[in-house]
Amino acid sequence: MAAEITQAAPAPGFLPLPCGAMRSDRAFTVIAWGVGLVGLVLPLGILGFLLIEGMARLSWAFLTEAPAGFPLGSAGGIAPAILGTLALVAIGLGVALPLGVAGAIGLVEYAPEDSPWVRVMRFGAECLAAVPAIVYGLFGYAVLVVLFRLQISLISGALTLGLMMLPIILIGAEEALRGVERSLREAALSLGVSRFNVVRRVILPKALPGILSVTLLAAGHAAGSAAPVMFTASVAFARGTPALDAPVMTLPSHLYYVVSEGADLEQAYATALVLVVGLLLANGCAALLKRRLAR
Amino acid sequence: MTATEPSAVPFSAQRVRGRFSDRAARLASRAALALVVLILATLLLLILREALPALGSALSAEGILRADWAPLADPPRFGLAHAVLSTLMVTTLALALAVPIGFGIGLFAAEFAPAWLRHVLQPCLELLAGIPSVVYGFFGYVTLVAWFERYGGMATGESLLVGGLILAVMVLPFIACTSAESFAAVPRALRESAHSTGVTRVHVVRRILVPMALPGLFAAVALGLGRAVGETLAVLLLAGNSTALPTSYLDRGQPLTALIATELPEAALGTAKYHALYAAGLALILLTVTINSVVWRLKARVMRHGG
Amino acid sequence: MDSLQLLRKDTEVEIATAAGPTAFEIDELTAGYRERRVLRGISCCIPERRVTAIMGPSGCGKSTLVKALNRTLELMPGGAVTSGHVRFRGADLHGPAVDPRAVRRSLGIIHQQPVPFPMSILENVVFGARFHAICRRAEREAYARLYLEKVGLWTEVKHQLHESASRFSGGQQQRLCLARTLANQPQAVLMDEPCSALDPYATRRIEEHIVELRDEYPVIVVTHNVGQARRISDYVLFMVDGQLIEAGPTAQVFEAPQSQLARDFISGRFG
Ligand SMILES: Nc1ncnc2c1ncn2[C@@H]1O[C@H](COP(=O)(O)OP(=O)(O)OP(=O)(O)O)[C@@H](O)[C@H]1O
Ligand SMILES: [Mg+2]
Repeated sequence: MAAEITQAAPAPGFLPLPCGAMRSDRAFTVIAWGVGLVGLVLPLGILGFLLIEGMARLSWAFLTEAPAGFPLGSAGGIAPAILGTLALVAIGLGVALPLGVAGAIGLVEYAPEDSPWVRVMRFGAECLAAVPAIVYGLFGYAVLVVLFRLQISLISGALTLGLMMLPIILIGAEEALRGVERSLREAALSLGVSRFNVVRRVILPKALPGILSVTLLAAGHAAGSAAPVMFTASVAFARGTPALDAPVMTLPSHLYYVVSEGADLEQAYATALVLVVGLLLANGCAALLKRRLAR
Repeated sequence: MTATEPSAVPFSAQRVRGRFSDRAARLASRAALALVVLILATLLLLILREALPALGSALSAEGILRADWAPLADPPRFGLAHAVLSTLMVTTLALALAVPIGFGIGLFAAEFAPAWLRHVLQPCLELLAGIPSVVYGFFGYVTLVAWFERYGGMATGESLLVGGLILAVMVLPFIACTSAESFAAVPRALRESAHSTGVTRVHVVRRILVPMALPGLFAAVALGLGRAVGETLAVLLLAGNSTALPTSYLDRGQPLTALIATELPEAALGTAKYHALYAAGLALILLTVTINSVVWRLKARVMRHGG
Repeated sequence: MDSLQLLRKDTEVEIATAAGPTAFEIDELTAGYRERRVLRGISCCIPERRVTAIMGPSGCGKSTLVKALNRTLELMPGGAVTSGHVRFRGADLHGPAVDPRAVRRSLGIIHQQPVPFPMSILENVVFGARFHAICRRAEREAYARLYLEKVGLWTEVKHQLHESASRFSGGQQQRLCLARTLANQPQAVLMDEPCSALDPYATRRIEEHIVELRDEYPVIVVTHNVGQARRISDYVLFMVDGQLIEAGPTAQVFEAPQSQLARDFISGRFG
């Protein structure tokens, strides 16, 4: 009791912070909110711009007709470009998805967990995924178009896009497989069944949302890239349904040709909108799948 | 009810099914991996092979590093100097803008934003990252280029400045997301105990968050750099595609990627031009692989901190 | 052969013996993960058709031992048996002609966390049995019913056989895992802390099943719970730091523990 009395009574209320600190803190908070809003306004602004300008020029005919007019693309539609892009990505996925998933299974399920090979492969795949799209164009041109004499064609472009998607899918599938709980793998294997059976019945179903999600992301990335198909697959104009050995139109390269000619951009707004909305749908699905996985 | 009886066959006499499928699956997955390695190797070797003729004399006055791009001169010169300089200039501008803003957004998302805003911000950034390069090029063309043409008093609106500005928007989401992740990876408990000492937020950010997130922030910059250097379509449409050596940001220029995209369709096989373009491609590969190794190191360090 | 017998020379622990046939013979077993040696020379016998509890402080290697007993240890990164033998009914687990998957199938294991597979309840139960061709596709339902009844789940799930098991409670999931293991028609059942994730009521149900299992299988149960060991086990192995320091019939170990460590553990003073 005596000790308590001899101690100085604390001032009522809380001790104030240094005045300068408070002011800089407030300024800091304001700046942070300002910058944060940039991250909000910029994407919405760009999307809004494309939506408003594009919707005004979009029509059913635009989606279903071939381009026309002079310079090309100033009239008509973009149907062959849509078909071409879909065909390129679909065939590319046909190559990249099985290879990527099989490779990922090899890395996660059939390689010793601490093997240096796994790290090397992963590093290689990450490098490949980081290589700019145009380098894939160079490679596709030198190997597929020139060396294998596939010419500028759907198949050359699809394989080039497949190569570009492969490392992305490999890394994503590897992460998805690794994300499956150890305990699940252990419990299934402890029943004495073969590893392949465990992968097929237990691990793959669990990892499927993740694999699909990264596949959609890779496909969206490929569908939006003009650089790899510029020398391998795309031409300014192609008619009819895409054929394996013929060049095709693609949405991004069509947009590029129209803009680089620079004469009549009216239709380009609608083309850009179609491309962006398509990709956003793919990315949105990917994000939903990922979120489902997180739950 | 024989089924309920434990099986009497001792395991030493049991043959388990699935040996064949297991071996086949192992083989198939290894083959897939081998194919990936093969592709990686051919990609490197082939581009190296096509670039090699241009590398031999790279440092001579006529070589790719010092000469200008003069395909019509006699003899023609295929120097990459203007392209390297253009790439440097647009990348520097893009990062100078995107790094501070990106870090700011990352910090905002990790520290300041209420949960609902974070959930809006994240998809918005993903949206920004999902817009393809060519659409950014188009967007820049109809907004910035048009604006500069009308108000900037420039004959043509395309310039390294416009290219750099749009590039900044393009790499922003990558820098913002990566830095947000590394800020968020700083352990909650550490942050809370720092706050509980009653210091201001600035103080916590400067003394705790930034030092802890530093490797991740470096990784974010490196990632943004890799993106900016490799972007093709946007700079192709916006930077002006001029083979002259740029002297200011208002000049037109031609980054490496734009040079390749412009010239490859007209480069005959095996010509000096062709080889010079593959040398440009090789430079891009080396740069991205270097950047990736740095990111790899940094990520390992982040994980050690986080774990 | 005497059923429980500690063959360790250095610690001088004398173990009382009980008559009865032996299921597992463990002989100077050492095992671990890469450089880390976890089991350092375990020797003992585990009797047929009895419940043997393995107890000991956390990290002493109980899980490692159980995993070594059905060759799932080698599935862990770096995990391996480095020397010694395990024989089940006379057959060496690590014999040259032995397929590890046959061992895993014959010596079923239940883990601490129940792990339902991402498939229907029915498929969960017959997952291993279908693979090992114990049950045909046409008789899946009847077969699954047999084992679901055995673990007392049938009445609870008979109308949702084709639904996912992920909405089950922890206790139901653990019983499902037990059914899944039993459907494999194992010759012994190993359990690694099967109740540590369950509430007391679910624990009681699992304990009842363990006691029932004793009529058909040798059962090994790792447990931290002294009371549980007392309730369900016939024999107790007591491990500390990768070594067996005490073993014997449950009543004897609990009433007159020979070592100070075991005495402290049982009285709750450490562990
Ligand atoms: N996968 C692994 N890799 C490396 N070391 C491991 C691994 N699993 C366990 N260990 C180590 O082996 C020792 C024994 O582990 P084990 O899981 O067998 O102990 P336990 O007696 O089951 O403990 P608990 O009561 O906590 O379950 C521990 O010190 C642990 O650190
Ligand atoms: Mg354990």
